[in-house]
Amino acid sequence: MLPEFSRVREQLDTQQREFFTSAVRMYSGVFRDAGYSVMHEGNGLVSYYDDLVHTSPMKKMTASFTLDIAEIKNNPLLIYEHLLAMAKEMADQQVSMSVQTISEVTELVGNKHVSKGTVTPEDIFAIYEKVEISFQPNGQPNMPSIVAGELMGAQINAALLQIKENAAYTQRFQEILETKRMQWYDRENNRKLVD
Amino acid sequence: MIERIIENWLTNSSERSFQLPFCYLLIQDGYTIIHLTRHCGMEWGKDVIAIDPEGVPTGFQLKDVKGGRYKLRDWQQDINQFYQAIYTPLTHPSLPLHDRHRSVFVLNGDMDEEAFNAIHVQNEQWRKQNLHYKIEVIVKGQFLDMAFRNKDHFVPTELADFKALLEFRIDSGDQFLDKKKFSDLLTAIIHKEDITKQGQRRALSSGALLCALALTNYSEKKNHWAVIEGWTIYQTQLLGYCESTGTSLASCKEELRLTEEIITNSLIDLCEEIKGHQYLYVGNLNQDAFVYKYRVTILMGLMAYLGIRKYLSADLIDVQLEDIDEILARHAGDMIIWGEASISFYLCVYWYRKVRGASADGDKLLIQVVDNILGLILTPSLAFPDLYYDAEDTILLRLIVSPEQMNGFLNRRSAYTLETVIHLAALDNMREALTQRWNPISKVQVEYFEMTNKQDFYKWRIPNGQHVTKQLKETQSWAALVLQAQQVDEQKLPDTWLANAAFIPLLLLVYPHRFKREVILWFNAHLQQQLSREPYHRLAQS
Repeated sequence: MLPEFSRVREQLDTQQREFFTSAVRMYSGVFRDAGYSVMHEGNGLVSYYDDLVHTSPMKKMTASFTLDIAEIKNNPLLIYEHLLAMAKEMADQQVSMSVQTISEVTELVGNKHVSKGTVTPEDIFAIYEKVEISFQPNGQPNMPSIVAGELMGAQINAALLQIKENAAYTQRFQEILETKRMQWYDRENNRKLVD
Repeated sequence: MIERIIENWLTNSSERSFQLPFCYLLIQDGYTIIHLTRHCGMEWGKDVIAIDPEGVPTGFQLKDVKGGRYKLRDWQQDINQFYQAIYTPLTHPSLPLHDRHRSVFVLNGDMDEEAFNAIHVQNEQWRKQNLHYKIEVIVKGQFLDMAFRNKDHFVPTELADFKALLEFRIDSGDQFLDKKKFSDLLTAIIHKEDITKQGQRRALSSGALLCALALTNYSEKKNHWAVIEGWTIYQTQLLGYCESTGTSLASCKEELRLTEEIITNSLIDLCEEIKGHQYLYVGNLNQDAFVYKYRVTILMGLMAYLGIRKYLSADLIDVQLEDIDEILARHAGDMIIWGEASISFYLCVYWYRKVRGASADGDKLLIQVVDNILGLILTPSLAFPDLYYDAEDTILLRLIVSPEQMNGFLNRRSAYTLETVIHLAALDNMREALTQRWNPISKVQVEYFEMTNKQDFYKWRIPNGQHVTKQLKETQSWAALVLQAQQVDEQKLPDTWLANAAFIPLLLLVYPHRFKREVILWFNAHLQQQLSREPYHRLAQS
């Protein structure tokens, strides 16, 4: 047997796994700080939303890279570059799966909104009217994050800018926010045991 | 190699650790085991009581000589114990009426000729006096012969399992048991495929031998919790075998009874050990301070379970409930909810309080559990590991892992256990306490695992099933909540369930991830039913 340096390799393996996990999180954008549950058993997910049911079969994510021995011989640190690239690939798949699941659930519960052409402030209002917004004890709203591709992102930003700069839109936005605040208070007050 | 392992194991075993394998070898040879001793001061020279294949009651006295030789002076020292074994009748409710019994002396080493001669002379003397008394001897060679005859089923044949067995054999025995590895080891032998019915039956006994062999070092170190976990895993596998093959529990009653006896004995030994401690600290306080409360939680859960077992079990268990009361009074205040896997330990204490007629204390504990779960889940800086993380995993997570790994637990806003605990509180009519807490309760997401086949219940991990999440209602009717709590779908429980009520809490302590609403509520209803028939006074009197 050739000298294996088992202890060193074991340490490096742990370190590289942590590096990879950390990189995946870094590339996960808005999902980076989302909580997660490990699924220890079974082969599917079922989520209940009041009387509605959403099922998700297990999906496989894969990413890989190829090492060139000659290249690695000269600079072993290149491995970390490969790991970063693989983490990005993995994160993209995760984000895409998450967005797809959110999209399915949104449609299931009737919150889907279809924009007719370019995104307008009216579209943004329609979306805000459909989602639940919670508030902090000091009254600050926990505004939902918006996830979008490059093209859609630019349109949404433009619409948000219009809301900010146009007094009528700003007024409308504030009214929606107030409605949301009242709905949140109602929800909080309704969290109770009754007869 | 296998022969050498068995021989090495035997010569290094104490009476405590070779007692059970010896019993299983007796079963293979057609004996029926009636009783095992705990190796306490009341052995009366009979470590094992059995009925031989001809129906003659037989008492076995085991002696550990650490593979050495039993000398004449040893015999002279032990002679009174032997006379006790011979002259005192075997008394046990399960023994048939008899006017004579066999007395067998079992050594894990060899016997010097002088000692043999002394025994022979004594036997001859009795014979000449027309007395039926006789001392029979089994020495190491005969013991090994019994083991070798069963060696094909004594150790696993797969190389991977063989490695696992060796790992258990060289383990120091003072650690927590690696339950997954242990479960895999037993699964390989008990759930062997392509095997005849007779072979399957033999595999069950062999599983027990393997279990004893793998647990030898833990047993030697008197690592009671590891021994209890090991035998609970074996019993669970046995039930799983019956469940999946449709075999009746009656056909495994010998194995089940022996396993229950060894678990009970370990629990009693643990109780005795706890009684001897003023504080439950071990070793250097610098390190022990970080693990103390976790240890206390495990021990209190086990002691409470011992009390419940005494109440529910048909056999008389040699333990005073006042001792358990005192232990709980002294230490239970130091229990900690480290994560969801600790909830079963709390529930054992809750049920024990009910058994002792202290339901108000039990209810207080239940609300403490609810508050702790809510506090851990709803405080962003606190982590709440799920059911699949035991005490040691959790300590390591909290003290050692990277913040990246911890992040998931910090943001977890769901629980496997909360809904069930709320249902228990609803059944105890704790409306006011739940009303005060419903706002935070309704913000927690409920998680549970729905297995596809209930026969899989006894497996360590189940491949087929759905991970389910749901939200509790924001506005919840009290009447509907109580109704929900009363509804238990027994169809979701294994068929072998009803016959093993006293085993259920222990299964939950060793397999915390089997904490299922139906399991907990079924057991709770069963206990309640028993209590309404035979209240705790019966125990108080005993």
